[in-house]
Amino acid sequence: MVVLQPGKKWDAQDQRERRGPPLDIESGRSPGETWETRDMSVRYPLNEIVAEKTREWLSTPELRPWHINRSIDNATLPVSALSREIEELRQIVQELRESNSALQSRVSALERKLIKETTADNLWEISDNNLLALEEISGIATPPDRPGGQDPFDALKGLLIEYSDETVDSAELVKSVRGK
Amino acid sequence: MEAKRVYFDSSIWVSHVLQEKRNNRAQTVQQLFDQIEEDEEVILVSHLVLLEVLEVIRKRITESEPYTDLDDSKKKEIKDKIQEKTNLFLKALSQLIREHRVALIDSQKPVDQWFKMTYSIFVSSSGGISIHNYYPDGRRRTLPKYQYRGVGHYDIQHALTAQEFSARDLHTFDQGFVELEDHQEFEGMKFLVHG
Repeated sequence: MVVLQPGKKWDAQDQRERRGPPLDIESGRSPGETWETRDMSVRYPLNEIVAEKTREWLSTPELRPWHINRSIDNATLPVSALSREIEELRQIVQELRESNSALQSRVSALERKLIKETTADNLWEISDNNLLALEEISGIATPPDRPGGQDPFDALKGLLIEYSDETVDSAELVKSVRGK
Repeated sequence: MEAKRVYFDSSIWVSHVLQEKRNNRAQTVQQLFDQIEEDEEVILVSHLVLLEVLEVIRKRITESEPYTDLDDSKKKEIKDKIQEKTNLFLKALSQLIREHRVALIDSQKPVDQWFKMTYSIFVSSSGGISIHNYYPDGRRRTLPKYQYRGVGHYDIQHALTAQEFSARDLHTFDQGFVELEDHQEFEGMKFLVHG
């Protein structure tokens, strides 16, 4: 068989078609043409070349699937690895975020506890200082002993009784000064 | 062993000085005082409570005064009554503070931190909306109106002060405090909202 250059092959076919009647599509031969003349490269039909190449391809030992798959794997391996790495990093970031949040909460709780305990420990110091300030502002001095021996809680009890009635509501009175 | 601490909201003090009859509140307060005395606990009173009670005294005395006329003499008469009751209140309270039965407290936190905490709690509690059918004097409204009820910033500041000074309980007659009960900030402190 003579192998034609593609350009020459088409040139040959063009020349043939110009010269004679159309090709018999089924056989690839022009009317009157015999198989003996088919060895001529110019007459060699395209579909016969395709058929021959197909036969050659079919007779070739089949490639193992992994050859094909391997080439695909080679292409996708970095992508999947990157995706996996991104996922792992996201997980780490999430864990760091959570541990950071937990640490922040712990620090805040300790700060609050420190302030609270310091404040709690100094309760009477704070209260005594506030009393001094209150006395100074109000001009009311607190005697060391109870005036008249009366319990201060009793002194407060009913202090405004003449301004009370059946309808009085302490919660509403307080709300009124809280702007509610 | 250190004495336990309880915080009394302003409504408790107001109820005590007025000997409030509603829902036997005066008796409730008396029982609280008696129990605290018996258990040798300490009552915390903040500057905020003190100022609110003094303001209620001013308003209540003024608004309870029967109307005759309004001139300088009448104004002085009312102001003198207010001053007298204010002084009596402060004297009794000061005595309690001096005897270390009541502690007068205020937050030790910087102001910016204080308001940041208040704001943070305020924005996280939304309150509720209801229908308001009656005027304050009990008359029914011809057209009902919506009413917003929720925790106020003063309520939050009372609770924060109580928490800062390790109060075990906060006693009040104000239902607004109910909303603070489950707030994370006040974990470990009980809000006892009496009827």
